[in-house]
Amino acid sequence: MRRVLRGEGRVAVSDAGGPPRKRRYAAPITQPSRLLPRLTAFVTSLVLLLVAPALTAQPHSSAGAPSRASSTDGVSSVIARLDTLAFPHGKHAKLFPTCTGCHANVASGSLDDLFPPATACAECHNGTDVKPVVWQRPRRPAPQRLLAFTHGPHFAKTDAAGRACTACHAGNNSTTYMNIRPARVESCQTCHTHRATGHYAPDNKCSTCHVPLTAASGMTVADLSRLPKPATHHQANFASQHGSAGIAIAQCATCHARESCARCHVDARTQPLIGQLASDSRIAQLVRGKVAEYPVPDSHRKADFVETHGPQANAGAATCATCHARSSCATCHIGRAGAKTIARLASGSASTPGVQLVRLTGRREGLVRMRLAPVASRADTGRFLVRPHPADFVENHRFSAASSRQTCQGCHAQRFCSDCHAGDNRRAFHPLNFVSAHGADTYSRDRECASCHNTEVFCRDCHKAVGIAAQGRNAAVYHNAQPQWLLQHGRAARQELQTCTTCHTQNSCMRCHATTGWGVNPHGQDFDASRLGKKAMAMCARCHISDPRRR
Amino acid sequence: MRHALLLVSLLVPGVTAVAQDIRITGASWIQSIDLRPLRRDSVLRSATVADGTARRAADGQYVSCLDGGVYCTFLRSGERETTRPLMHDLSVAAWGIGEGISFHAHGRLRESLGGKSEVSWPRLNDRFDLIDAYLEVDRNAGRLRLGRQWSLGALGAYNYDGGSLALKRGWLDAEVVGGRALVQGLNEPYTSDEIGPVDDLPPESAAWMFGGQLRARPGMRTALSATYLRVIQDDRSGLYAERAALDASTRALGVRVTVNSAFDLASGILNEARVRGTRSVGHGVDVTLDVRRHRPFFELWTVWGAFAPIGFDELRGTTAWSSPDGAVLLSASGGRRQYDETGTGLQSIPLRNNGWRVAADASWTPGEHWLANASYGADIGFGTSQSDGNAGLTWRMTERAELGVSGSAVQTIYEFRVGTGRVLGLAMQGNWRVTDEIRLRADAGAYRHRLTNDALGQDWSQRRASVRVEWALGADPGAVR
Repeated sequence: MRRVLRGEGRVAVSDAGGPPRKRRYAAPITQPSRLLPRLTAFVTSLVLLLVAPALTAQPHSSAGAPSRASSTDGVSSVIARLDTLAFPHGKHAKLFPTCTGCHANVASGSLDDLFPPATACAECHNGTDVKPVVWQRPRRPAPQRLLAFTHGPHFAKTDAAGRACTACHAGNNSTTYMNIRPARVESCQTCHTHRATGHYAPDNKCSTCHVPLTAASGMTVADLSRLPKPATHHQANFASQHGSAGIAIAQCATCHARESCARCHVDARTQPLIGQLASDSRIAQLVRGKVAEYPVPDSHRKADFVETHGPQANAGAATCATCHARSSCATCHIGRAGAKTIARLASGSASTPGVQLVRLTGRREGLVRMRLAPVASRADTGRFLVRPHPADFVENHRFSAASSRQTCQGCHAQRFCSDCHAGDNRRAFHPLNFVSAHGADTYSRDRECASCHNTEVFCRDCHKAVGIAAQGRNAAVYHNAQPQWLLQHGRAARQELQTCTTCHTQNSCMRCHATTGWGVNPHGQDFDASRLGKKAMAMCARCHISDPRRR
Repeated sequence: MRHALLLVSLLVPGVTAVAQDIRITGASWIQSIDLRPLRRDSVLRSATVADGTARRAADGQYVSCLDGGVYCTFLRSGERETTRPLMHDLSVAAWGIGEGISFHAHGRLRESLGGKSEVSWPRLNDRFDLIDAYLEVDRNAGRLRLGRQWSLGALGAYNYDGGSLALKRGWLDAEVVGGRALVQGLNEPYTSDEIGPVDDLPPESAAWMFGGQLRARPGMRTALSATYLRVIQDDRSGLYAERAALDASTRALGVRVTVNSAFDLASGILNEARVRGTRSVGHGVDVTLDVRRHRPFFELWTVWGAFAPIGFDELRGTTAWSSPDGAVLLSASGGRRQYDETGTGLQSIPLRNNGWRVAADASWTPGEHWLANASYGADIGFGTSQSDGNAGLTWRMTERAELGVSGSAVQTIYEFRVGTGRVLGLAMQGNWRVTDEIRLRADAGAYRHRLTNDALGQDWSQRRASVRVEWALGADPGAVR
């Protein structure tokens, strides 16, 4: 519909629907000679008021941009396509005693019958009495919009209930005649959703008043982009809860198409609930380039999630499949661990969304970075750091590995272990300055050097190379130039014998402590000669000429 | 070495010929390291003071004077030299030989690219190591491995030539291992020539190893395991080791409790007993308490176990905080250890028998591209005391490349061998994943050591640099298609 009212110049009055027709209107209240033009203008406006929001899809230059107002549940939303009426009903208030005077056929629901002919305006707006205006009636029914509203049944009901058009159209509940406004959502809710807590509340039934978005062929991509977002969708746990049991997909279908879900859902193609939604090219266009969002569910934040996620995934792989493709799991899982569960996820590809886990390198290798798939059309956002292992796991992993709390083989090949435990071809485990600072480490025994290095070979070799080995010399005063070292060394050796062996060979000690040497007894109070003799007599024979147990 | 090479050269071509697919990975690592090898030096006996074997030179250096000799000798660090060891790792994984059958091998070559100290880098004289080479049959019921392989568990990492069988039934799984034992951390038989040059009393006979592990996960939050290992001399005349470990972990009332223990059955010694409790107290804060008893373990081919090493008890607490988005990690810890009574030495010449330590660590990942970390630690105790701080910044330029710089400062106090001094270090490192199958790593650092408090000796300032290339060929069996 084009501009309806023109305030100046000579304008031809025409009825786009056909030749001018004579129409009878309600009796004038005042100024009968000018009644018809006024009536025509009024009817035009009223028609726009009643019909345009629901049925028309043509640009409303008079309406301009959609208005926004606060709904009852606090969501800023579009509530009407027209916030001002093209027809100044107030100015014509004294001309027309009833609505149906102009909108006589509102009950039929036909646009042709709903709008008065343009000639009706010209009866007053004839250029002599009043300035002429242009009025074009809609030529055909407007394309379908989101509302399922038709005047016909409503008109009948309001009549039956004894109510008039003002039940929906009275401005600010005013009783002033012709003080009207576009119908508001609250008007609909008065009857239809009086048990619901709000227009956008989950307990409201959208399909009562709305058609599925895919059926709203009259809405453009721009229209769809302006659809309101209910408050529930802003809730922190909405992303993780919105697919929970009991959801009525018809509710979603009011504003969403399959592409809405496929933006984030990795398993959109196979998810039955999503399959109930129709596909829509406008939504596809709308979500293209829009970033998928993957808030971390509460369950993932629990301290033992890494340990317990296996059984959870096994019991409900479909839940995982919402955000994760197999590649998510493959970042850590290798081999057969969890293979059956992982196989239930979508295979995923570079062009599909999904949470991807990417390892960081270097000393913080225990960290896994969660990020979106590197799809060219999608910007990477919503990145998170998750820790499959505690911060000090590198130092303490043997305890976890020993207790089998975490099944290492589920995520690591044996090569992963042997890369470090085989000793001398990887520096990643120790920090770069480890050589300078490893002294204290060896005394505190947080790390068992022998797990990766043979101390008899590796440590001595290295200490020799840097000039701090003993080479078997009986240099009693060598230790940091401590003159009384000889008297202290026994205590020192017992407290930390392992560090002695990183420089000294067995013969270093046996020169004095073997029976073939000075025979100084090195055994402690709890030394069980009998037990050790049974287990390893060869060891005894290194220092003792005869079996010491027989003495 | 020859046997290992022969084995690999026979197995690999045959196995790969019948395999459905194969993946070969390699890593080459070249280093350049400054060293100060030990040198024997001498002074004239007439230039020393005191009598007897142990004397002191004019500069305070303690020297050893043999009877009748004109010169007294002592060991000192030599001039700075550079060594350039090069190591190549090559591993092969071939699978699809049959249902669930795969073959794995991993070898290591060592060589020197020059420098005066070409044999002084650890194990550089051992040119080739076969780290593992085994055939695996993996079925739903269990897994069988035959060949050189690893036994990894509560008692550490042992590799051996033999077989292992792992069976799984519900929440129980068991594994038995057995075969020819290799020296832990050496990948060589007990009678290998590798030990001889560095230990004057190497093991006299080869050994066999037997053991097993039993693991149970009776609930989602509880796990138990028992491990046993026995290393027997070839002629069955004695043991090299007999060890056992019991470990458990459970979570109750919000506390994760892990209990670990290891026993030296041959010597009747408890080597390790540790109870560790961790609880999240909310707001991203985890608190951990460790109670630990440690006493070192020695294999019985050495005499060290008979020298009655004692243990220590330690109490340690750690608290860690992570921000909700995980970008900031902070931790602080403190602990104290107390050594047992040694029953030796003179009471009038005491030696410290306790120690304590504190540490703090922080890391911050402000965005996708930066990682900053810093740490400080102080460890005051017997043998050495140390205070050190580190700070680093890593710039992740792209998904494939990152560059980092780190600085460190270490102060050692009363260290037995190195003495009192300070080390300042600055290092850079870079990682570049050229393709999905090729990765380059490089680092370079300089560490400046200065002796303090009139400590004797020479500095061991050092420059280190290395370049590592990792590559892979063939399909990735772990990749998801």
